[in-house]
Amino acid sequence: MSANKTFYCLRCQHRFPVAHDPKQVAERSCPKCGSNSVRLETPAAVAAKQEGD
Amino acid sequence: MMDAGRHPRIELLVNSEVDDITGFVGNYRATVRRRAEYVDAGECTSCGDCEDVCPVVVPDEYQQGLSSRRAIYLPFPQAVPSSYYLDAENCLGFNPIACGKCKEVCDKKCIDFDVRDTILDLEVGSVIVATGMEPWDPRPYDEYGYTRFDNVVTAMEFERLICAGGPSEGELVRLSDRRVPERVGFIQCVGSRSPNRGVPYCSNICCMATIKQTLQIAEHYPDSQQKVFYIDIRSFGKGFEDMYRRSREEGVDYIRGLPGSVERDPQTGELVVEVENTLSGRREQHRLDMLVLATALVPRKFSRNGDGKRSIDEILSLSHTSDGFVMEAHPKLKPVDAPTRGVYFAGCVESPKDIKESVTQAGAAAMRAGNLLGAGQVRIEAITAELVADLCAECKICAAVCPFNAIVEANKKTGLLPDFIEAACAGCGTCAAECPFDAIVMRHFEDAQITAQIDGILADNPMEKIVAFACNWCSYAGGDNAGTSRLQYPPAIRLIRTMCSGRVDQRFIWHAFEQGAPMVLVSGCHFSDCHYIDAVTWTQRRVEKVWTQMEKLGIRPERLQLEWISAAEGQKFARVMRELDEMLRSVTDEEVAETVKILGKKKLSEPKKVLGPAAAVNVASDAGATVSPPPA
Repeated sequence: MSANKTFYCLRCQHRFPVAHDPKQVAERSCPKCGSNSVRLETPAAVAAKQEGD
Repeated sequence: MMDAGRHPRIELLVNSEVDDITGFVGNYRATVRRRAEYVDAGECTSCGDCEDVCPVVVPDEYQQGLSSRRAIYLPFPQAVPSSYYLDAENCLGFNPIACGKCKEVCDKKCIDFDVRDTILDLEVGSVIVATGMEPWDPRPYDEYGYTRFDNVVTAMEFERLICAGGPSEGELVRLSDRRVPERVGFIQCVGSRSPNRGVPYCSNICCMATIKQTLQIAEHYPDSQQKVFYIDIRSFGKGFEDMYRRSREEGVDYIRGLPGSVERDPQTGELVVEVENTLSGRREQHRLDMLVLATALVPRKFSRNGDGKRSIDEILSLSHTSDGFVMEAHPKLKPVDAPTRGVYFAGCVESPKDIKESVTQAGAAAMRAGNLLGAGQVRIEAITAELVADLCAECKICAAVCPFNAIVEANKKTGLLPDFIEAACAGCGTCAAECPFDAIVMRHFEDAQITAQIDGILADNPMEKIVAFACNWCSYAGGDNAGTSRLQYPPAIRLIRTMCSGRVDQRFIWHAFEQGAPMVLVSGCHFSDCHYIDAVTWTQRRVEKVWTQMEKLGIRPERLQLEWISAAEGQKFARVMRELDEMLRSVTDEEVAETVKILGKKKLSEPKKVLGPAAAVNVASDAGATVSPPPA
């Protein structure tokens, strides 16, 4: 089942929603900068990012 | 087709499904389910007595539902074998026999309701996939009125209407009143070149099919008026432009612009087409008796076979391009080869194509298969995987991740070591990268060779360098493309070539960071271009895992970048390198020193030790691979 999840770009830090099915591995890219270094935003990732800030 | 049916060395297995194909190039074993044929094709003389008495009437699929057929019928006049076929789904004579009239009238006694499916086990050297395509369903395009008006038909329906063997025996009639239409319109690109509502690609054959149909109408009905609404006419090919010219000379009106709406005049019953003529810039209204939609061609959906088992693309590990058609091994050098050796493509399964192209490709595929079988032996890749038995923990991850099914469990019952089929191995290295125990050696791309390159790169001034792993076919070639195009990019990048990004073991990434790399890039083919079927998906999974681990360790995940760059994307390669060079400046000496310190304690670049079968099961579940635990 695919649901909308938030991904963020490790190049430009842009956050964006993507239909995500954990069972399917799909090619993803940042809609802003086109980078493929995009990551599913998890609570741990948000916490770590805030600590970094 | 008749020739193929009569050929002494060709056996046609009609009404059959492939249940499974195992093995490798030159040594495939196919399990084929031959559906019960209730009519003995060898005995049937196609007299038609059975059809005459059959009480069941259903729409005729071959005639696009424009006429009907019986439950026992001849699929079409040129069908091979030329015998009647019993449609078991609609026949009344099954379990218990309720009808059986066809059986009673058959003089040759060739109808038998007790026949059952048979399973054939075939040994074959190669496989040619020619499963074709299907027309796009135009119902979403309701502005063209396909679902509302009888006189709006698809090109396939029109083809049946104007065919001598069609439901109207070649008489072109409109469906609403059976009268010959005097004004016929054609709308091109219905579904094609429409990424939002249809498919993004050009369907290749529609322009010429429409031109042919306009010529047919002009020949049979010289007084008719014809209008073609188009975006642009693509009449490339031998003699095609000449056909287009002839069509225009016959008086066919070509109007550049796709209609915005089609309505029916309630007074006259005419179809009223509103269109903006983009050549004149004027809005026009055309009144027509019949409208033909040139619908797109779309990939045939590979259906799972009756028992819910795998479909043919899953059985053969066929990969698909972004448009859904199967992907060839190389678009220029191996246009009829599948990535799996010994498997070839013919016809529209690979892309939409006309009869001439399909015949050409089928000939090429047959020749490729013939060459393979005639040679009697195959030359295998030099770059293949090799198992180090002493290190193997039998976790079976390698078998689960191999895109080519080149690694098989030797014996599921006794849990022996996996069997590496070198002839099937294409050398992507995914197995070696996924093996947690370093039990697989990738010839010519061994761990020691790659780590030595990393060490060499980072030996001097590591803070000025980006370690980049690039796959041979796409990203590395993209770098070449950037070079030959003389595109400028910063000198910080240091490329390490691997055959596939799937070979990039996470231990290589950790090793680079341990050695003081400020940034690492993993780069491979776009998913639809992967030369090793789906090996690139394992790259993404692996990098995502490393990102998570970096985060847990307090290392910025931004320092590991992932990028898909094709061989044609030299500009993208140069742009990515410039962006990474910018990011490199944000990494401080202290940050790198801290990373080295953290990773020095963790020793993530070292392989796991073999701890026994129980540990192996845990490792397998970590990797997300579906494997069964080895027996105690």
